Amino acid sequence: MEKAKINAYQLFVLIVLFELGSALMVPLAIEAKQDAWLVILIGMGGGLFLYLIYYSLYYYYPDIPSTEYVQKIMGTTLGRIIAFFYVVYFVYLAARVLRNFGEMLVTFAYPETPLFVINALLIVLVIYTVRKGIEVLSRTGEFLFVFMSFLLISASILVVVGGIIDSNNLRPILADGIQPVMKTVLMHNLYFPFGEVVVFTMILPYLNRSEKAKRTGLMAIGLCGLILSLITAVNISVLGVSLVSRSQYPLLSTIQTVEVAGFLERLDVYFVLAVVIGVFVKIAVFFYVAMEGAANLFAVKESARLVVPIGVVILILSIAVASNFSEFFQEEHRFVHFYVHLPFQVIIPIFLLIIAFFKNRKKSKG
Amino acid sequence: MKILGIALLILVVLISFSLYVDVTFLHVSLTNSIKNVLNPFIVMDSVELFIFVLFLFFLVAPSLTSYIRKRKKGSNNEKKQQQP
Repeated sequence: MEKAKINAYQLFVLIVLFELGSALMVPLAIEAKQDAWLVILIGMGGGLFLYLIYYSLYYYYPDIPSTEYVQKIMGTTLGRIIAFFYVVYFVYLAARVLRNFGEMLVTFAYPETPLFVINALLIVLVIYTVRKGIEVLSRTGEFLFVFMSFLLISASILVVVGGIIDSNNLRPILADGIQPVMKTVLMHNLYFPFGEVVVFTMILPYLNRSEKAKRTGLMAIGLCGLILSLITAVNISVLGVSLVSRSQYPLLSTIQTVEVAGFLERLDVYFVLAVVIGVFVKIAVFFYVAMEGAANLFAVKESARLVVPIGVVILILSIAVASNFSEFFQEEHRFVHFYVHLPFQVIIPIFLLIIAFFKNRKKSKG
Repeated sequence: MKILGIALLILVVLISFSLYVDVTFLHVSLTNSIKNVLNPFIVMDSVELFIFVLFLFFLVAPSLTSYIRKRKKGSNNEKKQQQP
């Protein structure tokens, strides 16, 4: 583990930017139609519950990352296998986020530029940041958070002033009952973006004041839930359910419809800047924890030596993971959300917590 | 070499997983799935290829230099031991 410390505010900023990352790009929970905003709020509740599970594990093992306490809880052999799969999971998610970002830029801004070049450019930046360590990453996050806040606040003002919001598009609420809402929460929204906070089980040990971990994490997830719910509600009220469900990037479509005073229009750059900031932090966090996890697992003394190899793996995988965008999207919805996220974000942590609880109870009794 | 081994292990596991997802959930045949994985690298432009090779160079170079350095050290030690 790197000898570094981050403070509670930096952790808060990292969680917020990480969660917003690629969630700003895609249509969230649109399976629930006009109730998507409600799905996100309920998903946020689930995310808070999952964070409490991760925090409880951190409470038992405050000084070591999850790849290490897994070995303490499950025994060396099984623990190492699980830890290895966590590292692989983090690399896989980094590659998926990178691919999603690359596809977005190719589709919308750079149709003549090869996907590989766009992905390579971002991964070079991430390699450089991750090589500098968690402290530099969190300070970069602090700087970018101010910028992101400015973008979100000014974009909200412009959307409201533009007069394009039609709240009738959000009605009727719960037209098909609560069942489709709960189904969407359990099949998709709980895991993406909220359950992805599992990655912070690797970063919490760097926190300088461990007593602030719980409050900071809960506040960050709560804020993200509110922001994402608001953005989804605005998207639906501006574009309507039909257009949002057909759009690859609904927030972009919403921003493109803004026109204030006849000259403030074509604000696409708002969307691109917000997404670049969020995706950069998200990939960097996944990348960093994968690198630290691998270094810890394979006893590599200088984890920085793993930066370029893992960066190249992420880049190659981002291209190889799907042959086109529709396949990528199909995989994401039909497979990744439920079959990949569920075990790593919910089942294994709950199982670990139960064993850790009994192990630590025995210890305290002894 | 160990570092390269770790990267290769992660890559092999993830590519196998990607093939498994293609075959099981998207019902693509294994041959087509392998073709889909390799195709983006076969049809690369010269610029893409240059960037790709550059990345591979940065991946291999540190391991190669440390290997050469170790061999040089080893041969120097042998020479010193041979000298009376």
